[in-house]
Amino acid sequence: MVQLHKYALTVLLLLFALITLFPIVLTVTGSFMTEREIGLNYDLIGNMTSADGGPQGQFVNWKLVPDWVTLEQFRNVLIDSPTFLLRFWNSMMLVAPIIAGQTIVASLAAFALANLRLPGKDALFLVYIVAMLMPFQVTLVPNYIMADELGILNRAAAIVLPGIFAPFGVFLLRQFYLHIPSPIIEAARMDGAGYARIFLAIVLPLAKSGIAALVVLLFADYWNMVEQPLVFIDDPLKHPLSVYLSRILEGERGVGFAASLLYMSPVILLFLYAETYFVQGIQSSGIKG
Amino acid sequence: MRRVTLLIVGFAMLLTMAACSGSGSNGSVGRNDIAIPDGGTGTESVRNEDKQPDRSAGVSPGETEKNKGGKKTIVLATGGSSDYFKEAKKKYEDRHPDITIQLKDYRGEGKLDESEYDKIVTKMNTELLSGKGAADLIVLDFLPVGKYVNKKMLVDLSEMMEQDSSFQKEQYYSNIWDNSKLNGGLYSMPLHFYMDFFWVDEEAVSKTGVNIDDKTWTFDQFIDTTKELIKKGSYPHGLLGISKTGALELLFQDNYAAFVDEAGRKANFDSDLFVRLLEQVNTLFDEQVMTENYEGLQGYFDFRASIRSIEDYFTYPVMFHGTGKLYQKPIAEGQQTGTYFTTGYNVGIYSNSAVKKEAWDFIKFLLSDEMQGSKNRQDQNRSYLMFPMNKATLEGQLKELLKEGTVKFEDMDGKVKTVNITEAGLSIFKQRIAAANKPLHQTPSQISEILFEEAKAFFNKQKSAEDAAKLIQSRVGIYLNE
Amino acid sequence: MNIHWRKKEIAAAFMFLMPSAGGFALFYVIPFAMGLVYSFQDGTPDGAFVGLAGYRELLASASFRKAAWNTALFTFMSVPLMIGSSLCLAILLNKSVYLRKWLRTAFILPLVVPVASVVFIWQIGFDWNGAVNAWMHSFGMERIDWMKSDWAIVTVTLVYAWKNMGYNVILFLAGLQNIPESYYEIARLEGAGPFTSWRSITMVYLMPTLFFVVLMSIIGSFKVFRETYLIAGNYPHDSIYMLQHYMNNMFLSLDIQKLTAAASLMVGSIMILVAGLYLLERRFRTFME
Repeated sequence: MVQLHKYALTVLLLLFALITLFPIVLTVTGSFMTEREIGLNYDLIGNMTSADGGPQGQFVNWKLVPDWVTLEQFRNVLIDSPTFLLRFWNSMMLVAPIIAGQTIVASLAAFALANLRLPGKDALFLVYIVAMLMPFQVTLVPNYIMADELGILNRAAAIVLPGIFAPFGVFLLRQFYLHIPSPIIEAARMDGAGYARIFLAIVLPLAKSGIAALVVLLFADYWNMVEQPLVFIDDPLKHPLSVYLSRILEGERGVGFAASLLYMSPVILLFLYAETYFVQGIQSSGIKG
Repeated sequence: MRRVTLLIVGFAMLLTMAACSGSGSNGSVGRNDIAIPDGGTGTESVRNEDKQPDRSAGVSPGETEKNKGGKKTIVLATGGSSDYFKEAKKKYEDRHPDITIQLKDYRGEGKLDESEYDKIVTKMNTELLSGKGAADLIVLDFLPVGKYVNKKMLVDLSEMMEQDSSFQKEQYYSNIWDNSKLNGGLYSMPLHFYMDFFWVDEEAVSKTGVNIDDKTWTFDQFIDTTKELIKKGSYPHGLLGISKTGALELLFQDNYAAFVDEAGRKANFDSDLFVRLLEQVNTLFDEQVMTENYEGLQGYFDFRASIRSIEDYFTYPVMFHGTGKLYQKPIAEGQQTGTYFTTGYNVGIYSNSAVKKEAWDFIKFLLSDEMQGSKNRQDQNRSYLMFPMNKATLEGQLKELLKEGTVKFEDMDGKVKTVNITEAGLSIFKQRIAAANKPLHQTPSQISEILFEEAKAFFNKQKSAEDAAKLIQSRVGIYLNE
Repeated sequence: MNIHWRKKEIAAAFMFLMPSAGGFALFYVIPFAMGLVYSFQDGTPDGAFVGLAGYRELLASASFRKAAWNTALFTFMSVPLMIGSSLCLAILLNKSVYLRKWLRTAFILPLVVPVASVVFIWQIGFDWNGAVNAWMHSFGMERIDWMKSDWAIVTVTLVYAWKNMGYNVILFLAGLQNIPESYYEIARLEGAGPFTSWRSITMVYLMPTLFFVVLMSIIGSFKVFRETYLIAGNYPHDSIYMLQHYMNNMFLSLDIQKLTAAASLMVGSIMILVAGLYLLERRFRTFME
């Protein structure tokens, strides 16, 4: 009886999981289709045509299994457009320093906001949250002026620096640090440990999961940024992949899937790698106080 | 009290950071430079082919630094890379050693869909609004000029024209400028233009005995005339080569005020009037007054008569079907007679620029015979693309053509034909340029875009005219009320 | 002694906070403050001070009011809906099921799928000729123009939920597993029914998590604009015309004054909302300690 219940529940959840995974699966299988097959299937998008058949009037299919498996698309993306790899590299060179920087800066700040007594820290935290929800257009012009004043316009720094100090990391990590029981910190201090030591020896190890989550979420976020590099960097050869992907998708639908797959693979790989910390860590850090 | 301390310390910190980065040449800030690939992406990556003084290499491009040491820099933002502007830069710099022209491409290569376009505008707007880093001279062809004028981002060039005694307006086809004004000023100055006509099979028309006066005909008259022609003559079609959205645009522009009240922020698309307009387009196509196809069809008119070169002007009449003529396009009710034109290479000067005078001088150079007749303006058949604003340049090109006496061209079937160039033909051509007074726009307005998108569903028989009209009304309403 | 320690703690907190707060001020607070100044000027650069004219003009705009209303509606309808369903899912996953680890991973993956891919898949599904309409057609139903009718908001909510549910589920799961099983035992011994123990144990102990999840969901709801905009453009169907559309359009029209005025009003509302949530969370925290 209990067994049956467990099976039913598993099946239900599996179904649900399949729905959420569907778009990713579709991209993966689509990337092995020929250009012709993709054209046949997806070129109708955006045409308000009738459903009555005929060459102009059919439906777009969600095509899961390619008629003919081919690596043509990958060849087109990787070999025939050499800038793809250059831009891939550009993306990495923007995203990596942002993640490293923000993780360091935010983990320090979150410690102060979550575990230390500081008057006015709640108000400050509120400011962080509000800033997080601000659309980028609002601060675009002031940021541009600021970048110009700092002399970092047209350099990676114009994107990396604001990225490092973005409020999201502080917001996320503070939540994880809150789970660290204050008696532990109190006890360490009684033993004469300095705050730097407390942070390094107690807080950081306990917040591993939070940091893993932050790295993944930041990667997904900054890997997708479009407007900032476009506005702050003039030279198109220095632009990241995200700026270019939309043009690829629009212009040549044939290579769209392979380009998307290559584009999203680092994020998914990173996720699968960090997932163990990410999920289990959240639970283990919850040694409630 | 403590909060005050926090604030003070915070600001002190800020100041130090700003100071640090201001003096430090690598542009990284304080202790966090571990995370930055010390300018790595900035210096190593591929350079633009021409070694222009790139902003990314220098210090901040503030007005003072930009122009120090007597040498001034004019930044010219172009929409796409262009050999024409590269040539202009080189020639101008040779003659003016104290001026550097810096070309900056804001558009890049490739197709532009709506979101790509928005990104370009976002970048340009940021630069204009910040008052820094923006170009001094901007090629405005792809940009929302109307908005820039409203927000006073551009200089009124007709004022500069008048103040400059060395500038002779009569040497140019200034009717193009006069009719390109916005809010009473010339903010976006065309350097070139082309003209739009209707192709007419005059022989077939004359057989029917119907009289057409293309100097005065309106859209309504055009439609009535065409119906009459089809009834009386042997051709089954009226106007060929026009899409339904193209037809809608014509009719919509003709009745613009009935549908859009921009000042009152009101749209009137959910009216019977508009539903009738949509249905009228369908009827016109059903009755073959208008037809999208053109290949192998017999029609009295052809919509595809954008004349972009002198050669086009003489070959188009015999290019597509039989022998024909170019007629003036119908005008809206109550409008003055005149030729339709579209401008290209529209330039404007940024109102916050520190080198306005120099930029104006460069514009004058672009208008000189030397640049207007540049080889870089020719296509592969050696026709000059778009007409020059400089009268002398065009006269020269016409004289050249008259001397040759004929134009050879390949028609649609690949057959080589010849057209004779006559003095009389040239003088009619010149009259038509002088009569150009109706600007058409290269890019559709936001309202037209919404219109086309929603009307498409109706034209493809996917939605009723009422449903399409309702959607247009709601979307345009949002636009007008922002 | 105690005072000395407090001072030391504050000093330490300062040190930890400094790098983040400094950069944050430079790239977020000051730019926003500059934006605030713009909202009282008639234009930039070099605008004149015009007081509240921008705000008056903003409030007079019917489109702004519609955008604000739509955004509020989306936040107060879709966010709770999504949180409710992810809580249900988390509770199911917390029961004994097979493949729990794999299921969790499946739910969270959408979070890392790049915008461009989401948009492509979305189009395949919800285009006029899309796969969903193909099914409806094959069942003899009328086709629906998903993005151009009142269904648009449903479609947007679906995609939003698809993308953000996974992470909420993970967070809830962590929260659930932090509640000691013994609490439920005691409740059962005292004769509490399942609903009572759900309300007075599960919900109470999930409160801190809930606060965080709500904020994460609001962030997610703001981010769904990217996708919506890429699908439906600047002027979408009026049911999904949000504040971000308004602000984006204002920026494209160079109307910085109205843009920043709108942002300031939005910040005000977010402040009130977040402060309310924050106080609520604090009350629960003290209540539990």
